[in-house]
Amino acid sequence: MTARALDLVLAALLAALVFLFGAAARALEYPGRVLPAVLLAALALLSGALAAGAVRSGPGGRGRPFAGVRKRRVAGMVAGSAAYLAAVPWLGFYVSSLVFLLAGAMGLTGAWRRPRQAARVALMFAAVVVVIYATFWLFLKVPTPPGVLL
Amino acid sequence: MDWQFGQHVWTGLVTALQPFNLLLMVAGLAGGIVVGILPGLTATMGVALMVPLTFGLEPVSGLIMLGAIYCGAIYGGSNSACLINTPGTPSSVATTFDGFPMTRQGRAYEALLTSLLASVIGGIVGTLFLLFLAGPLARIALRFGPPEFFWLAVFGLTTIGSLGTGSVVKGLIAGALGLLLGCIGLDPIAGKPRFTFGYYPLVQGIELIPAMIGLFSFSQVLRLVEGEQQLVGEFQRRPGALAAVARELWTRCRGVLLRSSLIGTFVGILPGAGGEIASIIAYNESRRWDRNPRRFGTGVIEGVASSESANNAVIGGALIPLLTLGIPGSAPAAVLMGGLLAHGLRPGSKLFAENGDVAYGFIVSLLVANLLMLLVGYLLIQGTVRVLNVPTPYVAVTVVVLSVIGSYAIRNSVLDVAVMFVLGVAAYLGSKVGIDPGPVALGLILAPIVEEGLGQSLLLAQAEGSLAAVFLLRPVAALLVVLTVLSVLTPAWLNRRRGGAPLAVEGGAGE
Repeated sequence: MTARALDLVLAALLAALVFLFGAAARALEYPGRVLPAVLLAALALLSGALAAGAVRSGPGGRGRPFAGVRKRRVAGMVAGSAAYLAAVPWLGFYVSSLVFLLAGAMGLTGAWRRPRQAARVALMFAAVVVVIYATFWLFLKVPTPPGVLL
Repeated sequence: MDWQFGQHVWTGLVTALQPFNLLLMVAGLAGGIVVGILPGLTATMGVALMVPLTFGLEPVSGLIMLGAIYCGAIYGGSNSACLINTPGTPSSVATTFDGFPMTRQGRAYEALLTSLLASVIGGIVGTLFLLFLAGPLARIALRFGPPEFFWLAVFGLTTIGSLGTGSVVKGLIAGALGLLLGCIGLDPIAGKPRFTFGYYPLVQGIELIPAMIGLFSFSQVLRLVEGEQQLVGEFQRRPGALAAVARELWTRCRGVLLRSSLIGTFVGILPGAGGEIASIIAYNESRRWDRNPRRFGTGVIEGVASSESANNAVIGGALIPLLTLGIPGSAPAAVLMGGLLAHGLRPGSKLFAENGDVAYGFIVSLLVANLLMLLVGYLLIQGTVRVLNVPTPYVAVTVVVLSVIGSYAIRNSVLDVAVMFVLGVAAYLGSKVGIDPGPVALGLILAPIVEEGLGQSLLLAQAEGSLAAVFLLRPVAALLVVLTVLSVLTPAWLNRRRGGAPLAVEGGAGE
């Protein structure tokens, strides 16, 4: 997708956002509605300016912002992180963190294909989780998301 | 400056230099720096966590330790800001603008040393103001009402146009989105929910820290895994780097450091305005008065120096209203106030009269702590900079886990973790189309101040029957209006005077 097309998509998304928030802002009282109203008006104008700029720039576009991006790795990281967050209430924070760290590191480096490197990565991240547990839970007493297991 | 004042300062110096107190300072600084480095663990949290530990100590020793933690935590945030583009504390947002580009250029060590030296200088300037000018400055702070806070925030917002990838339209869109995100939750005036779209947990609003962790940390994780790079940056330790950076700061950044430290001190005095606002305003001013403002954001030491000197100068400033009036100037200062009260000390003018030894011991210890931070910070940099030698995938997954802890820890809310994740993905996609996280974060930081200031001022104007009387005719408000107008107009004026090309206003990606 070209930068021009992305600008048009962004302008459309902003227009939808203005519509959504604008509908919700109608029920607000004075003076609480003043700032949202000003912001929504500004966003409407700016999205118009963005769309106009994109249209004016011509069909050639201005490069492809996602060129060179390893999309599968990025999508994998987003999906993996979402699965990790979903697993925390069931596995517990520390168990799910260990699973995420191992799966993420091995998946991104390809270490799972080499048993010796995989073992080293597993040991390293087990130590990382122990350090995180000792630092946050035992020493600083910082709360972590609760779960059924540890 | 009378004889009694000199005697108090001398007694304070003797107290601060006692070996046990020096040890507490070193421990506090090290702990504070570690807390500051970890995204989501703020200076406020660091000070709050350590308050109970000080109960067994003499009041002055306890306060000395808490002050050192405060200094260390504010400085510590710059380490992760420079190394992995993740501000450890909100005060370090502006440090990422030039600190991380320096790391990408293989100048991480230089960036870290710049932030250390600038933090020390800013901390000392702020403390000197606390020591010598606390009374008069506290009286100025009392002249700040809702209209003044509103204009101060608007003054901060003028930075938005200059942040980001070069498209002013996209910078403004990003800033407006940040402000709009800040409107989600309870209306600060009426106390009614807004923009929750029927999802009740959103009533608590978008908390700043999880949002920032998402905008900077999680989006950076996605940027780390998108490419082929094996390491975050290149680490090269150069012998004599500290002296070289000090020399460069002295020759090139004297004005930047002084101006930023003064801005930090003054913003710190204002209740509700902390290091995050001071560093952004200082960064903008440094950029505005630079001969070539376009260098900013590409990895210049002036950017790191201005942000870090300002946020550490805030510490001294924030303690001025706390110690003289009993009004904390920042969130960590409010926790420090709790520490004072827990030790049976009542902040206010009587503190200096009745417990001068404690008050001056604490203030002078901040000077000593800032000097000690040179040593402690330098030693810790030797360890933290090694994160650059860790393979990118390992850094990426570890940052995700730390981001979850940091975003959850603020108010034990799973919603905050979800906000971090959603904003992280949005910031990554946004950065591809020219919507940078910096202006979004700036909008989010300033939203509560704009909103409260505007709402209360409008009610005042309704009562007085005149908008102009409230917004424009109060002396400090009028001064801030003039400064805001100058802030908007001077870049174009300076640019024209120097014969440069007009600033880009169009809105296209990749410009």
